[in-house]
Amino acid sequence: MGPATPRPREAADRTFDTARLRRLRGLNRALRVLWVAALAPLLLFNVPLVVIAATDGTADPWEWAAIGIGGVLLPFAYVAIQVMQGWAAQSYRHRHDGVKRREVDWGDPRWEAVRASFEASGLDPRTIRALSVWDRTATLVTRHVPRPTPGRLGRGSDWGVRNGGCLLGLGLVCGIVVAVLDELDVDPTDGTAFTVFLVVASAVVWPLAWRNGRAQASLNLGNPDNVVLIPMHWRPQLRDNPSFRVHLMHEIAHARHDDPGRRKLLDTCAGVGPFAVFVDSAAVVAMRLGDVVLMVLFAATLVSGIAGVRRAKRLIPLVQELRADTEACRDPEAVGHLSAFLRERQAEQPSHAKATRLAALTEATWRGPGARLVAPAALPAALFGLLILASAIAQWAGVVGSSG
Amino acid sequence: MQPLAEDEIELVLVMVDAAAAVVAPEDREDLFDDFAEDMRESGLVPGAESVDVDESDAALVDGHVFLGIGLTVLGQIAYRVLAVATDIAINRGLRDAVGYARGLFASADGDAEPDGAGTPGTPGAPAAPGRDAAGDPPVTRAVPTVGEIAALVLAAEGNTLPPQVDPAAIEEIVREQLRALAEAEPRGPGDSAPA
Repeated sequence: MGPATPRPREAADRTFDTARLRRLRGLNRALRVLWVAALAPLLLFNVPLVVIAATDGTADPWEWAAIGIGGVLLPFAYVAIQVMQGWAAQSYRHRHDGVKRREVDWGDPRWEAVRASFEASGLDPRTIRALSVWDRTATLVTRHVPRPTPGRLGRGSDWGVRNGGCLLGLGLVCGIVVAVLDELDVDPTDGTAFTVFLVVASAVVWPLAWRNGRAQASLNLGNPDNVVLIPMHWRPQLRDNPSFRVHLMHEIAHARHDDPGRRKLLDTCAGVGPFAVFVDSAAVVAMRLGDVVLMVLFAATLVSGIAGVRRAKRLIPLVQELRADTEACRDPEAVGHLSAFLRERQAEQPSHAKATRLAALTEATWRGPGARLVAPAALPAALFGLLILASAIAQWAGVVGSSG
Repeated sequence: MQPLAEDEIELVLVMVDAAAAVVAPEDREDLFDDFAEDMRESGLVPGAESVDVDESDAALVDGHVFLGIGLTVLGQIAYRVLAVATDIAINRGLRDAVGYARGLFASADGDAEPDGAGTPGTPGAPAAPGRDAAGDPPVTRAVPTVGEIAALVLAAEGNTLPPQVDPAAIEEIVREQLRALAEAEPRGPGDSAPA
């Protein structure tokens, strides 16, 4: 790339590289901690069920096994169904919203200069998928585009999205009918006809659900499609302005780590998090202790659990941005470009995220993110976990009586 | 924004081209062909409608990034200028916006006939914000100045244009676009052969 670099420069480069790698390790560790904090209520979902079963006195091991498995499958099934419905809706919208997004053909002469700029950073443009779109207000973004299941299952899924409102209405009507029949003491589930219907319906529906679930998981989790959306008015800058190279690298980092896809999972998990916290707190409330003590413990469980989930939900995207920044900046020059860009944007529209990213980029020693970043979510989640597990163990060991 | 007719699309493209040559030369060089292709296909100014944002998108930075006046902004302004000029032309009994624009520059210059090469001589005078209404306008009523048209454009499109585009910039853009309009081939309902 030029004449041999002098020694001080080499040493400085090595220092930069080591610091950068240390930083990346720190950020990945921070992300893992935050994900545990976000998922803690769902992971501990089993605990109250087991506690209640144990203290009810059922010694039947099969029932225990059923409860144990149910406690794991239930939150998993809920999250899986919600996420897949979200994918189906987003996939449908992406294909049918009428917005002209053109696949960037890196061989096209019009994108030649951007490709050259990209290759100068040492990456193969064919590793990323990019779509160009005309939109004056858009910024460079990476989007997780869910793929539909091929064939009839996919078409059925599209039908479900189109008629989602009707399906909900139908469910509502059925619910009312069942309630009315219940009032009239008519039980349609009595009798062999219903059992036959149930068996046949299950035999038809379950394999389809299994096939669709597996296909969706492999298409959108195992090999997710993360595209970089390039607004057309960014092309001249990407072509001519070398400082914009770091922006493309930032988006590529997001695409490589499936950050947008993970955010969708996070939305669902954090959405049901508070409800799961409430259910989990049954393990605490089941203890036979004084009323005041119980109230305090219950409040502490709720507050710490919900705080842990909500803060993790806020922090995970931020740490993803920090990681993308670190991956994008492979030399001090890139750090300079990105900081200048963020500084200008911060001056126009101040925000906490930009301030944090700027501070992380410009701090003198370029150390890892530190516990300071993760603590607001990790500490409450740890307290929540401690309360739940300690209550369960205390009841199990008979240290504390249980009101089941 | 309504889809435009073919001849109106060509007028808007001419106006955008002229304005971009002055305020956005890099965008013009790189993007004008794509812009024109897209606009001829859809009849709308590409990029004017904001596209849906997915909540889980990993954006480069939160908030809006203004990279300068681009072809979309020029297209939005051209669309409005054409609409305003057409309205004024119809009110004055002229055939179309081109005729009106020619009259505007002809009257401001004091020339008897519009010059195809543009307006030589006093580049600053024709669009002076002063109230010097023309010497010999084709119509007896006072001709709205470029400044007044720019104000109309701002009033109509103010909310949809980026805040970084100030009124002075809009006036300059409007002036360039009206100049380009004046030099365009006039088309009216009676024209059978588009240029």
